[in-house]
Amino acid sequence: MKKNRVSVLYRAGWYTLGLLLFFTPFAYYQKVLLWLLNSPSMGNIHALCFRMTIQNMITGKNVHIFTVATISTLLLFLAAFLAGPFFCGRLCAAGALPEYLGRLLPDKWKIDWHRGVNPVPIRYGFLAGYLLSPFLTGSIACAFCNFSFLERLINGGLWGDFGVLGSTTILTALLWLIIFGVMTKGGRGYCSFLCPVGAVQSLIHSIGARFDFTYKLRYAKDKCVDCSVCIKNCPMGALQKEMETERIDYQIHNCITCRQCEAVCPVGALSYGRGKNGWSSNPLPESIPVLTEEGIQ
Amino acid sequence: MKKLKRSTVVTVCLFIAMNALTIGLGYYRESVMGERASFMVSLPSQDNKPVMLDLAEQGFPKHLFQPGKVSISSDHREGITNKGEKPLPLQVVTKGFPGKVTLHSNTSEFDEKTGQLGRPLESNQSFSLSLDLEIPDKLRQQYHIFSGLIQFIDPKSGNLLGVVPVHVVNSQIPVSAGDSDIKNGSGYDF
Repeated sequence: MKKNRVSVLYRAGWYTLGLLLFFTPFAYYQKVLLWLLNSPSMGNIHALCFRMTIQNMITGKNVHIFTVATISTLLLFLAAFLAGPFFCGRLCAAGALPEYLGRLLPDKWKIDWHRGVNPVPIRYGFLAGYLLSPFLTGSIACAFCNFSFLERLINGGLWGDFGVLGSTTILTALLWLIIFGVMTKGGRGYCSFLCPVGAVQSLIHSIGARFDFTYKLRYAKDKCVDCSVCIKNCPMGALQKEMETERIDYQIHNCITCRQCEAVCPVGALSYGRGKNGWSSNPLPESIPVLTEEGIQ
Repeated sequence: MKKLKRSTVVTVCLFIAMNALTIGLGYYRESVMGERASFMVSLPSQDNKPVMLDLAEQGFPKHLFQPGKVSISSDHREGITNKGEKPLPLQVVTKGFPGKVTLHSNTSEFDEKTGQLGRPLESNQSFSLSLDLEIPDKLRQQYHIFSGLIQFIDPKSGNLLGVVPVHVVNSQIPVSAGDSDIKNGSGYDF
């Protein structure tokens, strides 16, 4: 319990850093990068916009390399390849807010979507629809943006001044903070189902994690005592217990590498690092089979 | 094997369903586009297209939570472009709008209080502008709510560089005799 709290507070420190780096009135990251690029644009969350940049890369429109958004998106992709969705797990204050608000409510009042629904096809189904939307209906990048809504909250929303809200912005707030936020177990339903930035990072991470030199969540099966503490504490529901085999099932496509599971594991069966992941047929060095008199153990 | 097949079918169905739902969200967004009026301006020119905002086109969530607050904005990244050859010193002035109008821009050189651009807008350069305003309840209960102007002036000489007429209506309310000009698109004189 204590380890859990320490980890939650530690992560909160990181998310606060993310808030200071990317959201106005601070947005120090954008301000420094704009200064380096000698650009007069405003240093706010729109200057950083990963959502539009990802869509622009598909449509081929408005792709300019030397902008805060493009540079940052390329850095985001590189980080996801080498270290997993580091931005989601450590710096995304928009993802963290509903998770932390949700901690104020008891779990019995929340919906555990991940138990009944596999989030991965939904996550990637949304991503595919998101990327197709500019060709079919017009972009939905700005319409359902929780990053933008968080900036509204910081710049007056907390005092009741949200600025002008459109219907889609109101729906975003409802889905992000309420239905898939505080009413969802883990508080990260919006991250799981409706975030294209997270989905792209997960896709890249699933490829990057195949290489030994990249960082990923590793599992030492021989250390695991099946206590399920990691499953209970995973805000994304990326860890589930398989009904028949009783073994832990890890869904890399829905993991944000927040490392909450690593922090709460009482026996150190989960770790974050380089090398083999240990989830399937490739065990970690600690659990290499040993030859005994009775055969291979 | 049968279970694996079933699981694959469920996965594919979920993927397609979410894909369709997301595209549906795109259509919904298209359907409520009318709740935000947009404009493009070429400067210097007096011949810019008027903006018409109809409050009846508001989506249900907007109508429920914030029917009086409206936004009139240019494109996200650009919208006001200097099509001339000389740099233009610029100030944005609004006329005929009820209540306070708040100006926003994507450039840090725009002073949101005075509406003035810190340095002249170079030839072929653009910036975005957004006007937020609150329409009182009383005004919303009539067809023609108000007509106003967004003026772009040279702050030094006071010369008018461009103007965008703005008409805000509520088509759910029957047209009165004096509103026929607006309905016909001919607008009001200032």
